Amino acid sequence: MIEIEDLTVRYRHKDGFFTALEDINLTIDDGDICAVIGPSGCGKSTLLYVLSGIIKDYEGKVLIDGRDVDPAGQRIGLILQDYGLLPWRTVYDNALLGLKIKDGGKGDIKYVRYIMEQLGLDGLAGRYPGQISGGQRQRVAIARSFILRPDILLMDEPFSALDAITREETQDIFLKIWDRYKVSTIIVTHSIEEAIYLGRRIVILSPSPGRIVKVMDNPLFGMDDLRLKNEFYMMEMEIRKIIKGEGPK
Amino acid sequence: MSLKRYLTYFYAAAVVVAFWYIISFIIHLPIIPSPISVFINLYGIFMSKILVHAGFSLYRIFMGLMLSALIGVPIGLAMGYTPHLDSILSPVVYLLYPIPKIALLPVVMLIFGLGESSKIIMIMLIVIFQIIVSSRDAVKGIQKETYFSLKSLGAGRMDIFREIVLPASMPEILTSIRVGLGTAVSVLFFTETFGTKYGMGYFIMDSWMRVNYLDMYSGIIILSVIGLCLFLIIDLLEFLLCPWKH
Repeated sequence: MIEIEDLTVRYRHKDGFFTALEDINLTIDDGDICAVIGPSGCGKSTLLYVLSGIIKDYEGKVLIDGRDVDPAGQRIGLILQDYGLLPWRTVYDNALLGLKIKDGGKGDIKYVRYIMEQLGLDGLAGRYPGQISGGQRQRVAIARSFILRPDILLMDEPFSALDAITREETQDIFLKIWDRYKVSTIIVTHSIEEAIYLGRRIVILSPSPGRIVKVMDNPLFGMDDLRLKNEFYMMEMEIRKIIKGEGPK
Repeated sequence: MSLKRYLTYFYAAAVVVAFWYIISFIIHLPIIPSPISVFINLYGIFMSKILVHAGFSLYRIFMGLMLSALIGVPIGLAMGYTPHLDSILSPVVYLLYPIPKIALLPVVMLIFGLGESSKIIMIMLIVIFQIIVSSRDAVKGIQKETYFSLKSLGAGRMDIFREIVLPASMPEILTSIRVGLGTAVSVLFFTETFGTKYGMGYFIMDSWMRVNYLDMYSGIIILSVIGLCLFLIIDLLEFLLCPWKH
């Protein structure tokens, strides 16, 4: 479970402070998947940096399973916008990086093989990130997180750099694996479509400084062929209105 | 490391030799002999006269570069990775870097004697600063986002050093050694003109004094080939240490 209470994050710069996030209150239950959506620069990434222990300087309370954020003690899966792969490690070594740091490289090899297979990476194990496509790199990042068996999973615009077809494919693969292991997940995105497709709950943030405008349950989550359905477009319109400040608050 | 790339060295060598031949043909003075007579001379004296000098030079330059790297790379990486250390050592490095250390040869020879160590130390004194500064800047140039994945995994400083700092700066470290190699050849030549009867520098200067231009050019060719071989060794190192670059 992720609990966020009165979280405010300020960045220090030359002439004072810049408030990135203000008064964020949010609880994500075990096995829930929550999409955070907001315009560029609203502090979405900052939220993930706080949850992954990269930013330690914040006000308020952030708890993972009742404990303060501690990357060394907890297992935090983080998938970055640029995938966060190490160019000098092979696909296989990148996928196992989490295990290497956490457990000295020891883990369930069967499970590793299963994840690699599911993500279509078994033939690419010996390649370097520079030798594979963007979609494949993204799948390596997803593999790394699942192989880690994380307590929570954080994703920062994970699919935004992919072309439309690859994006939808990768989203489907992700949902399939996620559905099996149901890790508490936060996905940050600027795409409304992606939020509806991947989020059981959708959190809408305001432009900078980011505040929560609305938290909505997404009844469409997990529906088959969702992208082809009328409700999908209705929901998209509704969220668009809220973001523009016209909808019900 | 394709064969094709190395074939281009032969084209380059052919072009240089052709130029040399044309110039020797036009100027027609003993100071610029024809490459053909130089190559014939080289073939005749390589085993009997040059090999021992080449061995000495290769040893000195190799040791000088290796010591520079063994001492300079850890210092530079530590400076880049630890801002506190950088703020202490950088002023010292900047102060010492521009001193024309070649002018210190008499001092170095007085302290370390006329033997091998003074020559190796001279090369090291000059090359090491380039390596320190390049290694430090390589670490400082790593994007901070590169560290995020490891930080979120709770990796310790040694983990981060092994997984990111060292591999990320390796290509630039090798480049700084490549640049240092060019400098080292010049320094070697200079140091070998004093207090020794061995080395390519000595051989070239001695041939010059004896007005034996064919020997002199043979020596220059061999010294260049030594430099080229060391370049190729560094290429090989890059191939082995940075496999993701290919």
